[in-house]
This record gives sequence, structure tokens and C-alpha cells, in this order.
Amino acid sequence: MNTDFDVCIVGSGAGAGPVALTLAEAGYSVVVLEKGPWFTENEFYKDELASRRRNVYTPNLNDEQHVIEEPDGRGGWSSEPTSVSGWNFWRGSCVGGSSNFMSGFFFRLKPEDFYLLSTFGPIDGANLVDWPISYEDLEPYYTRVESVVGISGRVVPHPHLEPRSTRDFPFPPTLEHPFVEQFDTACRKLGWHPLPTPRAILSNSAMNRQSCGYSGWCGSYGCSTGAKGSSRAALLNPAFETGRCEIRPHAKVYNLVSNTQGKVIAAEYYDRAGKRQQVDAEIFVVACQAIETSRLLLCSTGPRHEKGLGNSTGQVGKNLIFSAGGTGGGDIIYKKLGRTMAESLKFQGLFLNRNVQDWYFIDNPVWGRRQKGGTIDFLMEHPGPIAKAIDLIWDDHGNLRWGSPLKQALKKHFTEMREFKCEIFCDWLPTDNCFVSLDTKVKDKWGTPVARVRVGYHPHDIKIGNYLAKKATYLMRTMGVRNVYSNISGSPPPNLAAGGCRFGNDPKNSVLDPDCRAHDVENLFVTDGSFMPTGGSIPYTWTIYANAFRVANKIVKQLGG
Amino acid sequence: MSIKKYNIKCRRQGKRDVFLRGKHGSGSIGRRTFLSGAVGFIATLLLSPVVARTVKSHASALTEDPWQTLSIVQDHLFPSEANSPGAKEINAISYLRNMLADPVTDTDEKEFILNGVKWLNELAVERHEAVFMDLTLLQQSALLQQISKTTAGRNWISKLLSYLLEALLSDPVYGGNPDGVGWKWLEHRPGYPRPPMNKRYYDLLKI
Ligand SMILES: Cc1cc2nc3c(=O)[nH]c(=O)nc-3n(C[C@H](O)[C@H](O)[C@H](O)COP(=O)(O)OP(=O)(O)OC[C@H]3O[C@@H](n4cnc5c(N)ncnc54)[C@H](O)[C@@H]3O)c2cc1C
Ligand code: SF4
Repeated sequence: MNTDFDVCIVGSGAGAGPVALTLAEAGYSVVVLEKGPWFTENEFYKDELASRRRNVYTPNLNDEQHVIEEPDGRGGWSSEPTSVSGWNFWRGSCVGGSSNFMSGFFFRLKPEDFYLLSTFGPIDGANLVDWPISYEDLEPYYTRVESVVGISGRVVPHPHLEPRSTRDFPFPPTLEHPFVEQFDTACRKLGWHPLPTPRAILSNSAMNRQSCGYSGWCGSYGCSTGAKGSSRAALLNPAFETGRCEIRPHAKVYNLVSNTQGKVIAAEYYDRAGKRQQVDAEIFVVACQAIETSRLLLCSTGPRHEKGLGNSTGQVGKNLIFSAGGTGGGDIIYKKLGRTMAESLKFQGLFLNRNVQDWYFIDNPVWGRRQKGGTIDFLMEHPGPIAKAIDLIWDDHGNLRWGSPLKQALKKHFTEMREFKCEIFCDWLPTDNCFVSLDTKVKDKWGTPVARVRVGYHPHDIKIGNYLAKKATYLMRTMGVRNVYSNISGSPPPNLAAGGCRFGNDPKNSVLDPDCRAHDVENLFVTDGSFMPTGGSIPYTWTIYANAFRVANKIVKQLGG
Repeated sequence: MSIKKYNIKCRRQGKRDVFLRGKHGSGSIGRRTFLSGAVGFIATLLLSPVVARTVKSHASALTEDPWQTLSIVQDHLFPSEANSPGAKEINAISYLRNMLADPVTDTDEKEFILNGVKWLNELAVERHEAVFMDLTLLQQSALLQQISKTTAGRNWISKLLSYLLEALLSDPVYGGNPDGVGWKWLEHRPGYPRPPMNKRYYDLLKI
């Protein structure tokens, strides 16, 4: 056949990198179409204005936005475009996608996560299903990610440790902050298991990437050493170096063209100048992140796909999930610590890297049967000073504070204490109230309908979240942390989205087959987090990487390799 | 009740983004509502012919040179003190000027900040028959207290405070925080690598 490329990948984040690298290494020609720019390590700085206040890594919401539907509190839904609300649902639009800006707390799913329905039974109002593959099917790829992307960590035996085919991580843990002692001691006192959190961060130089520089500014910021295992640094750079992978930034794909046989034949995109371009390929892979992947499939109608690609049974966009749970924290007061410890907390660059999984499964007699719980991750407050300072312009009573009172509050919060934080992860149950569709009115700057996202949640998520929050706050109090709070809500974290094109054996309630190929399109694969029918009680990226490596092997096979 | 308590409330209401502390944008109230919910700091203005006349006679002063008025307001919001830098020391006014001149900043945000100066002067004229900059420090301070009781006034002051705190704590390449004076005061150590002159955020947008 005579196509421009063997494989065309849309998007360049965590779901795209493993496919690009595997296919290029296997000798196939690959093109990656990415709507955002191509930054290199020379363009990533610890600049709070760029990363957090002016959002230069995401599109201007007047040009490209979402419409979000939230519960209106009266049993209905209220919708608001994000250009009006300011609630940005983009998290990184550039080569490497949001994986450039992740913190890289990496977790594997557990065997039970693949069989939530059969292990824990149905829950009213939740569209629970088992996965069509098992932990054993994915395990070799989790292991592959450890060495190819570079995951540092240390295996510690504990009751819910997932089975591993290797004894330990290929990279030793990143350096830890001395304050971790206090955490471990408190955990042991309570009989809990303090676990070192694996990180997608190199603890020593390898694979042409430098070791971590311990700036302390990891999450939300691009990595200038290459230590962070972003799709760009770990996978696309080496794919590009094979000479068989072309990466086209500023290429916004708006349509996948399909022919009368139902096969995808071309990707159409707008280039930087706004001109329409197209490429053809044997196989097309979509990895635009959950919401945008569903949007692109819904937009791509054709003679055999009137409702959009993969959508013959109306499943595209359905069962979108996020990470449920919330956050918590409190203050570590320097006065209560020795001087050295206080100083080291002020200038923290080393990691805390701890999590607790003692309640990944919960045997609470009050709830009757055993329940799926979750993970509590512990960390230090991000050092970015502007966001922290702006928090302080409101006083105890919700009044604005300025002048000397504001300056005193700043001095106190910056020099006398540091915030200790936790993040709680539990399952976001898939429901009929959380899905992506196309908005009928709002369009992006190119005239394509934007995604309309309904973000309803299941009350069960809140119940589990609160259970874990109680444990987390108890631990923080045991450690002597002051002003402890927690915040569990049904508000979705836009950086941790999955689902929308779930995989399964039955086309009636899934979009993709177990190989993540669309049931009704023989040359279309989806490799970002969209395939996940349930998300586990952890952030997803390790699983997205692992599954994309798994699917890449299937694509190689389909190409005859 | 601790200072944290209110923050906790904010956090509870806030949109959640795990791994990202706090939230983007102007918080739980919609951004556009935040900027355009107001036509002024006083509602009585149009009703009173006397006030209308006074305002008219000051018409040019009301809109001229917003920077001088803004600079005075900044001194109230972030005063220079013996042991700590204030608006002057952190170059807050030139920082604000740069940011409002930056094409990345939304036009409705720029308008809102400049309109605020006009509204403040309208109120000053209504109360004291003089524009804001000609009032005594005490009168100025009382007026700021007063507008902070209105939604528009609160939003306007909080916007100015945000820019002030940016000028205090952003990298000196953006024109505020000269020699890291804000960082030194708050014992903050910046992250590395720091943005160089030719890679400020507006330069990144050209890549
Ligand atoms: C601040 C932050 C912290 C995080 N921390 C963690 C963590 O600690 N642990 C963890 O596991 N996960 C973390 N994550 C989440 C992680 O980044 C994502 O799970 C992962 O990047 C998702 O991969 P993806 O391929 O689905 O999407 P992305 O990585 O976002 O990539 C999608 C890409 O597709 C592009 N695209 C979209 N539409 C189109 C189109 N039509 N045409 C062309 N290109 C398009 C986008 O521009 C983007 O570059 C974090 C995320 C953020 C933002
Ligand atoms: S050098 Fe280390 S701390 Fe800094 S961004 Fe990279 S991985 Fe994160």
C-alpha cells in the first residue's frame, strides 16, 4: 500500500509515546500529530507566572474551551462554558502532553482492580464491569515501563502489594527529606505501613537523561534535566532518534476521514497558519486524553460511521471517569522542631515520597461486605510562592486583608510554618451522569464543536473518600501537624481523567475490543486512558504507559511484524 | 479561629486538581462574572443630579492618568515599612503597567482595572468633591474600606493585590521583586533553573 506513513498517532502524551517508540524501533514509519508546540528542556524554567498564573502550556480558553455540566443541586444540571467560569480543563498541550507537568507519583493497579464487579459486587447506579484482561496480562508491561520510562523506588512488603515479576525497581529511590522519619514513626506507632512512593523520576543519569536536580518544583512544571519520565523525554526523543518517527507540532487534528468500507484513510488537521492539511497511514492511533479523544471520534463521521468513529452502539464518550477523593493538609510549625529540621523544611528540595495503602480494601463491619478503598499519598506543599501568598489575602472571616495585616500574615506563613499535604485517591464509579458529548453551540476557533462534559459523581465515592480522609487526618494529628483539614468532594480533577471509550468483549457496552482497537473500525486504536472501564484508586499514568506498550505490540502484529 | 480556617473554606469550595495546590484563575466565582459584575462602586450615582454635575466638572480628572491613582492605592494595599518592602520597593506600579500592556492579559481584565480607577474617583467626588489622589490619607483609606464592602470593589482590590503579590514574588526578570527583595523578606529560595530574559512566558508563546 501507498500511504505517507505506516502509523499516524494523534496526540503525543502518555498514551502516544509508547506506541511511537515501539513502532519506530520495529522499523515502521510513524507520524505524531500534536496540536501544541514542541518545547525542549531548554524552555522549561521554574517560572510560576508561566506555569501557574498565565497558563502558557494550555490554550487560551476564548480560543478553545469546554462546556461543563454540573449538578445544579435541585436534581438537574447547569452548564457553563469554561471561558466564562475560568475552570480550565486543559492540562498540557504540547509535545509530551500533560506528562511533562506531572509529579510522577507512580502506582500499579492491583489484580482486584481488573475485576471490580465480580470481586465486590454491583453498586446501584454504577456501570461497573470487569476488564477483559487481567493483571497478569499487563504485568510485563508495568515492568517494561519501570526500565524504559525510568521509575525509581523500593519494594516494601505489605498486605496489598501487587505481584511483581522482578524483585525491585531498576532505579533506587530518589533522595528523601529527613522529615520522612517523623512520618514513618507515626505510621508505625499506629501499626500502619509507610510505603515509599515510586516516582517516574531518574535517581541517577541514564538513557541520555540526567538525574533529578531536586529543585522541589516538580508538579505543574516542565523538567529541565530530563529526569522526569515524560512521554517527550523518555519515549518521543528516542523514537525521533530512530529516524523513523516524525513529530509535527501545531497540528490540530479535527477529523479522521473514513471510506465506504469504514476504514480510516486520513487525518485532517490545521497547521500553525490555520491551513488545512492531511496525512494518510495504514493505522491510526488516537491519544488526545480522555475528553478530547471522545470528542475527536464523535466529530469524525463517515459513510459507515454516521454517529462518529467507534460509535455504532452509541458508547463513545460514555462512562468518563476521574480520580475520586480529595486533598487534606495542615501546618508543620517550625518552633516545635529543631533548628536544622526547620531550616531544611524551608528550603525543601528533597522528596517526602510516602503513601499508605492499608485501606486499599476496607473491612468495615458497619458496611457489611468488603469494600474497595484507596490510596493516601503524602507530600510537602508546593514551593511556588505566589499561589500561597494570594491564598492569604482573605482573613478568618472571608474579608479581604491588605496593608500591614496582610504583610504580617505573609511573614508568618512563609517563615514560621510549612504545609504538609495529602491526596486521597479512590475509584470514581462510572455512571450515566459522567460523559462527553459535542456541544451544539460552542465551537473552537477553527469552528469545530467543543466537548460538553457532564461531571456527575456517585455518592459512594464520597463515602469512601471520607473514610480515607479520617485516616489521613488522624495520622497527621499523630505527627503533630496543626490546623489539620481535609476536603473530599465530587468535583473532578481535570488532570486525572480516563474512560469514555472503554474496552470490553461486547460491542454493546464498549467502544474498543480487548486490544484497544475500535470494535467497528479495523485500523483505529485508542491508547490513552480512555480505554479504562474503572480506574483503580491511584493516579493512572503508569497504567496508561503500560497499556500503550501492550497495544503497540498488537499494532506491530497487525502490520505483519 | 485560625487564618487557615478561611483558607480551608476556600479550599472546600474550590475546584480540585490533585497535585496542584490551590486553584487557577479567580476562584470559585466565575471569571467573567468577577470582572463584569459591576458598573461602579456606587449605585446612587445616576440618581443624584447634584452628584452628576460635580462628576461632570471633574470629568477629565476622572479618567486621566490612572497610574498615579493606582500607585497611591498600591501604597495603601502594600505599604513600605521599616523591616519590609512595600509597593515602591517591589516596583509594583511598573510591574502592573507591563502586565496590562502584555497582549496575553485579557482585555476585560485590563478594562476592569482601569474602570476601577474611574469608579473610585466617582465615589471620591460624590463623598468629598475631590478626586481620590487629592484626598487625605485617612479619607483614601476609608474609601478603600468602603468599596471593599461591595462585590465590585472587593474584586477590584483583590485583583490589584494579586498583581502586587506577583510583583513581590515573581522572578525579577518580570520587573518586580528587584534583586529578589521579596524573596529575601519571606526567606524564600527560588527554584532552578530560573527564567532568563529571553525566555519569559510571552517568549514561550512564540515557540
Ligand atoms: C500537574 C499534573 C500532575 C500530575 N501528576 C501525576 C502523577 O503524579 N501521577 C500520575 O500518574 N499522573 C499524574 N498526572 C496525570 C498525567 O499527566 C496524565 O495521566 C497523562 O499525561 C495522560 O496521558 P494522555 O496521553 O491521556 O494525555 P496527555 O499527556 O495530556 O496528552 C494528550 C495530548 O494530545 C494533544 N491533543 C489533544 N487533542 C488533540 C487534537 N485534536 N489534535 C492533536 N493533538 C491533540 C494534547 O495537546 C496533548 O498534548 C498529572 C497531571 C498534571 C497536569
Ligand atoms: S529535576 Fe527532578 S524535581 Fe526537577 S522537574 Fe525534573 S524530576 Fe522534577
